[in-house]
Amino acid sequence: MRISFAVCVLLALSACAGSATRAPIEVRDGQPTTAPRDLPDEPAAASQRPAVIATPVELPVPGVPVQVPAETEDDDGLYGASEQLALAHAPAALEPPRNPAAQTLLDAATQAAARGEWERAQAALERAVKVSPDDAALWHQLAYTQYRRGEFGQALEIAQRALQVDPARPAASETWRLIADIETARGNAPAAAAARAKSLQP
Amino acid sequence: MARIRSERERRPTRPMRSRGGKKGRSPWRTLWFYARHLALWLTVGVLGYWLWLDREVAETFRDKQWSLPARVYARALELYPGASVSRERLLRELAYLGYEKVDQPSDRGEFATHGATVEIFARGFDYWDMPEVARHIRIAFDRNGVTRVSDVRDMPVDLLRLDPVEIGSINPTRFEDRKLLGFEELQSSFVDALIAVEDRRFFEHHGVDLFGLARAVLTNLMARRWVQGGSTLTQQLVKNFYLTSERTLTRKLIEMMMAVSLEFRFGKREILETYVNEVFLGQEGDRAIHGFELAAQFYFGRPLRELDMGSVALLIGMIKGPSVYDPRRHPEAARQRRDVVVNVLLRQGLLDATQAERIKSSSVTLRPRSAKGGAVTPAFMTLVKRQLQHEYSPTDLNEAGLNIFTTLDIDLQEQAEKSVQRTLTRIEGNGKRSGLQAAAVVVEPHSGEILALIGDRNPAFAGFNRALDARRPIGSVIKPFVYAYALSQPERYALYTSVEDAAVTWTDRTGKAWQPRNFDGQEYGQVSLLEALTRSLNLATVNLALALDLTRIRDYLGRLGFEGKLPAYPSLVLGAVEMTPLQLTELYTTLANDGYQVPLRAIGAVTNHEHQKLKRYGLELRSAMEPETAALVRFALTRVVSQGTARAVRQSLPAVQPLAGKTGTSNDNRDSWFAGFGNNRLGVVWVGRDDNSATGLTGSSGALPVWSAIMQATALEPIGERLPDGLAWEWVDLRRGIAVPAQCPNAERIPVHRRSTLDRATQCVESLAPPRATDGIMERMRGFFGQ
Repeated sequence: MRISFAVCVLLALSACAGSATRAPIEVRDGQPTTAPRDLPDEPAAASQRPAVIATPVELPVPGVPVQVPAETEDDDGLYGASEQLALAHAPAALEPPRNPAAQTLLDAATQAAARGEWERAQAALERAVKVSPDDAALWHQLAYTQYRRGEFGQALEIAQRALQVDPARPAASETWRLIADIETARGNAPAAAAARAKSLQP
Repeated sequence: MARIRSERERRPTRPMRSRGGKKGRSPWRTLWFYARHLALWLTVGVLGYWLWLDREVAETFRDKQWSLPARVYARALELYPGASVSRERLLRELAYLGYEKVDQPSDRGEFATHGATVEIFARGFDYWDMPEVARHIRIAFDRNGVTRVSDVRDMPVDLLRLDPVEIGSINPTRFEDRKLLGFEELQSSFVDALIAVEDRRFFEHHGVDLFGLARAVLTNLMARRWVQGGSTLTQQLVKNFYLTSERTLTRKLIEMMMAVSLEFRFGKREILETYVNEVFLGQEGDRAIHGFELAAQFYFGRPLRELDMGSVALLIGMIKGPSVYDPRRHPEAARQRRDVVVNVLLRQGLLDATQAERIKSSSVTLRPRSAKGGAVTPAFMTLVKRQLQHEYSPTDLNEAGLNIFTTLDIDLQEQAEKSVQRTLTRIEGNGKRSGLQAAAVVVEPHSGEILALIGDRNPAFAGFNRALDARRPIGSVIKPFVYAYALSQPERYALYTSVEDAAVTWTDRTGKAWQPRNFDGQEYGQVSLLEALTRSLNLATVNLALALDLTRIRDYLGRLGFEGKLPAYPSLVLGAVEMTPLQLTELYTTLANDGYQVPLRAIGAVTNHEHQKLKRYGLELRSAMEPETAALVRFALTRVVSQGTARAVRQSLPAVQPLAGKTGTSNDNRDSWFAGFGNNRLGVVWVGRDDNSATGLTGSSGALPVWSAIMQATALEPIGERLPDGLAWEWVDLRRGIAVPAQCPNAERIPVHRRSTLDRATQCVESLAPPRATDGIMERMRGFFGQ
């Protein structure tokens, strides 16, 4: 009899223990848990940090020389948010009127860049060049995002494309300056010097 | 647990009583003694089992991982002023997406047409890069496409992306398909209706509804058969989750215990949410349709929240028997079941009499089964899967709920499929041909995005994919790249440089002679490069290649991305090299894109089930050719269309000129090719037979009409006038290779490289006069031939 009570008590205790160790039920704000645990999530850290935003309206000069490490695997740019520059932008007054859709995408890209989300910026710019493939400034910005992501080979190809889409563009010298920066980052000093010389030509 | 504790509290009194029992030894007392023990041990046993069940329930429920196959989406339609999207194209997109046409859109997923304007309540979509909110917009069109996008207050909207059409899922192996809904995504009308029908006291009971159960037992006794279940939603969920469908009393008791445990440990919202996603609502082949959201799309082609009450009632009614009440197989049974549910809703006050009558008098309208949304475009999906299989495990693809955003233009794909079928049937009808096959690739040349892919003339065929895997001799479609090599040396070759179209015999090392001929068997003597390419002259091309040096041409083609074995024979330049349509398309992007080759892409991005980006496949450029060279060749290809072997293109697309294109025919007319492009579309088409027998078709009679038919279905833009920096437009007399005043009868406006030497005449020259013997370029040519 005693044993049976003891068992009973033990069971009761284990039941209590069971309920005590029960994991708190998370409040899920979406779907039931289905998270594939082994899949990488987007490195959203940069986006959540309060970015020091050089306001997107203000248009910094492209190719502001930044010392870029030769190699990086960081998907979201080379710098912490505090060091972010807004997306390089050619002076608007010099550019021909832009398709409003392309302008919206360029603005979105500028904002994403200001938050350090270079891949998002790149995605917006790729949509923009699909809207107006002949808009050299868009190609220039795309080259710049690739440069900031450390994709120097593509940055160079795309910068060349920017020049070729509209060689007579008043802002072409800025693209040459960008090319000089890319070449510097790749360690190709002579090419960098040549590009810089071209950027100074009227 | 409360009961266990109360037993423990009584403990002190028990030993006394049992001692008393020993003293009395009455048989009743002994019986009482055993009965008490039996009861106690039974309780202990049941409680223990319950505890074990409880653990089981808690753990499996918490760790429940839905198996969610990867969803594949087509490209989303982008709407902005200037977009070359026609009103009809938009309306077709809305049909693919299951938007409902109404008089006045008031909720997501509805649209209306007012003349040339289309009004849409767009659903919005959680795109990883730039989410689109649901919004109410108007779109105005003219002949060229979208002219204005505005919101309901008439403020302009610069850009809008519709939700993407789902084109299928990656063939899961064990197929349980579902789409998840969160509790907060459920509309209260739906929740009320579900509960009214399945479990009226859901929010009051604790897993088991004793009232409901009593009522069910009573009803069943009265009717002397099983008419009412009395199961709560929680019990149903437990049964689906953990138990087999066996109907025994023990099973029922276990189910109740588990249900109580579940309720004890988890909230009503969570249980309801899981129920809504778990419930089985149909079967399509080996694919089981689970959950209300997927069922809504499976039967009605729209999300659950957009369904009217009649459709919702039907779905709720189907819980009782998804196959018995399958509205496709048993429409009448389904309709009756719906009306039963509607009556319940009416009695519960969730519908008023008018609403109920209106629903009951309406028919059940289902999404047609063959509509897009099932497994479509197997040819394109093969390409997508091949790319994914390199990067994701089968488990990820079948279960992790990935979203695959592809580049497919679902509308163009469908039009291309129809074009291929129609055109091949027409070609076969013309003569005694049969058994023709075709492959086609259409891309956006600036981005390399694959818009449509045909691997078989039967679009539903999922086997051998000719666009990806059929390597066939490419014939004359190679010629532009040979001419490109010549034109990449602007000091030596320009479009007006003449070359001799005369018989040539080439003997290989084994002494075997090779004597190419022109298609028409003629020889044309001195012709310009432009003319030779326009008319696809074989003899001129071979003579040019021999002058250029075959090894160098081979190297050049290799640098451009030609893969595989390139023969070191002059037959190379007439296309004796095998390629797949997909490879050839990538090479042609070089010509369409100012010398930049763009690697072709079928996937834009992959996100996880919460729409966070996992991987993006971005634009890449590879400068393969000088922009000037590409532009010169491109111009020559527009002349092929305007007056050469591809003139038929001009006839079928007269409003979209200039366009560039090149025909190709392999030996004995086994393979018919056409590669062509405008500003925004590039397509390559192959027509031939699988057994490699002759078809009697040339590039212009086989592949070209297919290409034209496909391009007629797209918003094709002509090639622009713009030339790269190093080129300028000049008026040239091609027969003499000199610049002449524009008004001269033989003057033709062609692009000329600034580094090419172009002699100028100030007056028109007699067109019939023989070419000047002292022509500088001819001198050089001769010198070269003599080497």
